[in-house]
Amino acid sequence: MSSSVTTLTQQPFSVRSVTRLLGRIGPAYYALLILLIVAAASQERFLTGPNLTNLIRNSTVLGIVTIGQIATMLVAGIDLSVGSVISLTTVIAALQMESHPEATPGIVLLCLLIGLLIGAVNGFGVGYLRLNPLIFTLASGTAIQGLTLHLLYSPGGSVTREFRELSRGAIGPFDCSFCPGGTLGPIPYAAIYLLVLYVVGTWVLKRTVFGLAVYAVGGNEASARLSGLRTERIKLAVYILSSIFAVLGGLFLASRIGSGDPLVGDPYTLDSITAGVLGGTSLFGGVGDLWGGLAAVLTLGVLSTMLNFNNVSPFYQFIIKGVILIGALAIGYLRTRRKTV
Amino acid sequence: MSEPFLEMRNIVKTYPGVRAVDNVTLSVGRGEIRALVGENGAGKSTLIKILAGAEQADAGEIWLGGQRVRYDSPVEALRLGIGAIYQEFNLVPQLNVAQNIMLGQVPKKWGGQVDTEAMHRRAREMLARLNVSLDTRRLVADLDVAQQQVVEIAKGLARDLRVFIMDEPTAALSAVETEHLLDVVRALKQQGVAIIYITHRMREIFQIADSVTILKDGRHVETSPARSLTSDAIVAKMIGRDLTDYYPPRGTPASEVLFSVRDLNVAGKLFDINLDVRRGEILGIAGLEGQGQRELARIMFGALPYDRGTFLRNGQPIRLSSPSDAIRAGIAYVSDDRKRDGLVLIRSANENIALPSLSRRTNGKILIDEKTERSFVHHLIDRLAIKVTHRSQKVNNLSGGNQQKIVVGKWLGMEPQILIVSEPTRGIDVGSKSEIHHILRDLANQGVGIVMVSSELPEILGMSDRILVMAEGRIVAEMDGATATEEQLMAAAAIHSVSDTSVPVTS
Repeated sequence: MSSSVTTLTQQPFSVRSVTRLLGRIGPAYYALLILLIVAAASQERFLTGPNLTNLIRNSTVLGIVTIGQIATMLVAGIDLSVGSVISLTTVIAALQMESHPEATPGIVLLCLLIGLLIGAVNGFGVGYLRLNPLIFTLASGTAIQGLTLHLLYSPGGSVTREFRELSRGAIGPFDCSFCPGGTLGPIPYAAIYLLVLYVVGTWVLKRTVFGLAVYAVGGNEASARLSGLRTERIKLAVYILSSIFAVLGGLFLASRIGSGDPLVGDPYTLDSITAGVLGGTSLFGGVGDLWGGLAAVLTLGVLSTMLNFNNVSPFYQFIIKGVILIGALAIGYLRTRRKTV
Repeated sequence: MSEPFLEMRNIVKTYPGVRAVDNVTLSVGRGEIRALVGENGAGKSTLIKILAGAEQADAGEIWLGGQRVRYDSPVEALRLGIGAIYQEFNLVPQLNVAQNIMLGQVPKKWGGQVDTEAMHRRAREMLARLNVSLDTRRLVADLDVAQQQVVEIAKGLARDLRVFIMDEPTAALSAVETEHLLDVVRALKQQGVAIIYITHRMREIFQIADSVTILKDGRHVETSPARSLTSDAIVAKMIGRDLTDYYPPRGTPASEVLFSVRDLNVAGKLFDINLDVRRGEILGIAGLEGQGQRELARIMFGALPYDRGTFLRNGQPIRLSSPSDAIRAGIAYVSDDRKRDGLVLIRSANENIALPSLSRRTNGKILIDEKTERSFVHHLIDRLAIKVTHRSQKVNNLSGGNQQKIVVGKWLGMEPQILIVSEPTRGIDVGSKSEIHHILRDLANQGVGIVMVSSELPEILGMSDRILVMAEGRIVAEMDGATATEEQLMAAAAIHSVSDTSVPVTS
């Protein structure tokens, strides 16, 4: 029996399997590749070390928040409160560090605890009370935004010097015989954060029982429940993770801008959803992965760098982002439609 | 009979407008196979959902091994060793076969990791017990109905249950697969598992059940040893009347050809298919499961792509590259998977029926004329004898038989000239089955050409004017429906399937 099973699975190498593989690669990778080529060809400055470092640092907040957003999308949910959580984090970090610079590690911990609390509220509402995630997180996000503005109504406060190093630091350069110039780097901390978080996140989603449960809940919640999974608890955990990642993103942002800003997190809500969708994650749950999301995050980063090089007004950039989200949704729709009919 | 191991005492469950289970008491011993029968809507599904923890009873008690047990979720029921495989598949399409089989009890390694190797090994063991070889890495979304059913059963097996509830486990299986499953059920019996087995197939009841419990309208009618009952007696008690003639009399098909398929080929699936559908006939397409019948049906409705072939409508070539092409040509299709393809479950009976003919009755206007729609739908609901408490009742809450009637009903509204039905009576009770058969024959008598794909031999023999037998993607025989016998059909269907023991599920 087992021999017949193995023969069934060994697919011969063929043109068809190659095209199928190419079809399985998400649109985000193609978009990233094309944009990188265009950017490198049209801008001499693009492929320079400082610019690439800048690109990564500019993409880090979105990169971190997108991990949590993808997790909520995988359970057929969404988290519209991440932007407010980012703003709140920058405000609390900046205000507290200004008055208690010696307590920086404690303040970081405080922010994470606040994220845990917000995520628990979201997860309780969506998981246990079965409220619509769109409405619930929009409401909680609005309340958090109000609280943030109450704490600090215009940008202010300041973080400690050491805390700034977290986003500005880099390691290296290293000797690297096959790199141009013979050295690699310096590698910004930001790149390391992203790599570590995406590797660990992917490990959790793809290798652990919890990750399997996340896909199962998003794929067919009734089935997951009847199979004995505690679907409410899994959703609770996912929303807590989403808020925690938003806090981590907010801490990085506070370190980068050096102060608190009650509205700075706002664009990250829609951007993280755009990155998720463009990265191939389905809004209906159960389909998607983190690497596609990272490719989408970098795509958006490269795009915004190019637009800035060419002095395109930020207002046009909003329009372009909106068009990209709609386009990504359309591609996702076409891809699933081809599969089912 | 053995000591009662599982007891359900005075169970009551009421839904808005329906008393689904009315004071039912049921006890099953270790190693006993209890057949649970009743028409659709008799309360079987509700009863087993309560037992499996998926629904909570309004009143009543459950005792297990002499102890009262209380639970209000499937997790807790599973912990007590009570589990069910459901008629509507509870699989996660985006996950693979092994992940689905082991969902909820995935083997772990350090750090909460999935022990992938152990998971696949155990999943393969379960499939091997069913004598099925299916690649455990395939996605469930890519499996056909029979394969999904096998996965669902394997999932139940993987749990070492003390009370094993099976809701129509064989509805989608071929004869060979059914035999294997029945062997597995007998083995579970030997291990002392209490089994509650729901089926509409009388033959299976007498093959494996020790005892039979009959439900009707949510009430307990009778529990008796299987050997003291006959098939007719069970049917009579289920429906409360004698069902004398199962099949309506045949009609007189015209010779006029409505629709033809010429030289249809799909690589690896279908080979040189040629067929004609005549006015007023029921053309039965028979064969073992998975011989390409379903694909053929879907292609004729434009819902699947094909490699080569032409279609003629009244002798004129037509294009069939999408269902809307087919609908425009007067072709309708009733899927074998009504949940997935046939119904918008969360909408009302009303809206479901009106759906495909919407554009015809809006007369090009933008707004739906509610009055016309209502009278049209009422007419159909009456004609098909669909039991709804209200016409705006969500289809979700209806029984399988009524759902199937709605699927048929929604196509009648567009007055098709050709109706393709695939497994039209799968998983529905004898009463509704007979009603569907009469509806199909009425349509044929009105001049509709009907193509009926079915893996149930009695249905093929009882309904068809003409029978085509398929094996391994080819039409291997044509027979006259009135004179064909079960033996002739089986011989024709099996002639190409040389390796009969290698279950067709491997595809």
